[in-house]
Amino acid sequence: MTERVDTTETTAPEVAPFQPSEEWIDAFTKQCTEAMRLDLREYAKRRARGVGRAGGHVDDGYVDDLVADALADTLFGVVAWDHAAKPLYQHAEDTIRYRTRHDRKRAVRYQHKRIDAPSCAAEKQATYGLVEASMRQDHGDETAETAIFAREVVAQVRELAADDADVLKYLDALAVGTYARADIMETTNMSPRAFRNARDRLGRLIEQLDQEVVATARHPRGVRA
Amino acid sequence: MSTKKMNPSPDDILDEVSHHAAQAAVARRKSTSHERAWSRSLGVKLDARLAELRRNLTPADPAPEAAKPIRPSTLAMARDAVLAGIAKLISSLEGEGEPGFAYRNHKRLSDDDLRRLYDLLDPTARE
Repeated sequence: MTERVDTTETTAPEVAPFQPSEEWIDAFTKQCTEAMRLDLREYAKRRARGVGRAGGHVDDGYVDDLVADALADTLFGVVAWDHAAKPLYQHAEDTIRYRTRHDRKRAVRYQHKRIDAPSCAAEKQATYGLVEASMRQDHGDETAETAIFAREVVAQVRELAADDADVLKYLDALAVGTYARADIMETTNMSPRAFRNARDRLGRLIEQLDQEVVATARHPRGVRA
Repeated sequence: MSTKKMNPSPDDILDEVSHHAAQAAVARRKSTSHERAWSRSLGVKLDARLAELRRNLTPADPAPEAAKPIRPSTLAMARDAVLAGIAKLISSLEGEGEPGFAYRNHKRLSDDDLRRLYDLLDPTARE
């Protein structure tokens, strides 16, 4: 008896190569300026610090790649950009935001070791079982670790902003899901100028927090320099 | 339009705080010469891909067509007769406002090339 040869095609169906219209290429060319790339790099640099804070490995190469990949992946059709719907900067910023958020969550899950984490594996499993089931019900795929980490960081920012009423109002607005600039200004009764100043101060508080994390990493508690 | 998110998770809130802080940093950005050089270098790579995408938009070269057989009546003509016929046809075409031929050195063309040119120009051959 001859051996039966399976000739069923198992590879994925071929997809037509990405080929945008001339208008799309023109829009990309016009909007992808040096200033835009530098703005994206600054944005990526700040977002990358959040990944580093969570325990991820972050350096200049990671930041450069975030920007280069967001733009190159757009040119290769890996991420779709509708040039009629949003500016290129907004699209690339959204891509970097999504990817750094994913990297931060991943860093928390696989690298961050909390001091008060349950030491016994069974205890850890039992705790996470209950907490995670509840978390998943409320917040999709969020894990207990990412939620605890997020709460800790926001609490630290609030602590740093202790005597800054506008920044606290800003944080309160974000905490209840008010994200758009106009909505935040309306909720907090801030003028455009007060909003900008509060956002700047919030940015500096985050920077301060990052520097403290770096200092703690260099000189851990209980270890004298 | 309001973009309020109902019941944000702790991670949503942290992500939003980080996003707003990063936007604040962009607003007061001061780039270094190293960063500007990096940006230019990235621009060159992206331009290469853009050029490739533009090239892909141009239609592909048409497939070469086999030459039509030379008419028997043209095949029977000698080289001098063909050259005289071509000259006559060209002068009549120029008179009708057709574009002329800037280069008419027929010395390097073979007899059959000339016969094909004659057939190409002869309006009776197109019918």
